[in-house]
Amino acid sequence: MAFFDQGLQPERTLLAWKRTILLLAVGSAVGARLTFEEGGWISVAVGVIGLVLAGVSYLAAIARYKFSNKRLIEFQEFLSGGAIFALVSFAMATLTILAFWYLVGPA
Amino acid sequence: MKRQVELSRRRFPKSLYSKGSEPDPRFSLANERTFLSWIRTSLALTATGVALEALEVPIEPNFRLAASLLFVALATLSAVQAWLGWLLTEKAIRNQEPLRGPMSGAALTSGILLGLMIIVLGFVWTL
Repeated sequence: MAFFDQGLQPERTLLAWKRTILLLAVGSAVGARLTFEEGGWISVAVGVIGLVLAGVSYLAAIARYKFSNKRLIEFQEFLSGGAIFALVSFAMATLTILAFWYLVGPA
Repeated sequence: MKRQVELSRRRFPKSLYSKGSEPDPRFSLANERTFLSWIRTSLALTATGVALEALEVPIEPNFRLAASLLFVALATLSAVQAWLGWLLTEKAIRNQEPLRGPMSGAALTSGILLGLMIIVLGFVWTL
């Protein structure tokens, strides 16, 4: 099996994505359960959205790894842009705003 | 050169990719893993803030709310640090400039320590 780097950097990066996505999925489910009494259907909705996003992100991370790794092996090029990082940061910041709403919003 | 211009048009943000040169992919991958570490930090801080209130941890309620809000604020800071850190590091790598340290490292560390002190004070208050 061909690989780009003996330090297995692309593989380690994929594992980092998987760890992050797993944490997001678990956080969404547990968060929905813990906040259900106060948050009601909104908590459930946020939890479900988080789980769906985690599932989609998981598949996207694997696809991105396969595409990137192929280019790295063939051309030693890594052409990923910054859009995915902006999106993930924005999603995380939105989640923190929802957490603020839970803490100080209407009961 | 023409290929680099063409590639920079398709990647976001253009202001980053239109300057400098393509770095060793291993540096970009390391930068990506650092970004994900900040996101996980943000997730953990959000979870801590929400859990303190949701589980009604038995400390004085005002102290508990203050600690929760602080941890969630730090989570927001971590999410912003994740993006800005990735952007500035990628820029430095592309332009072969010295790398910066995390801008919010001191604030984050101090904030977490302060949050822990608030929790301890809240616990002592109930005794």
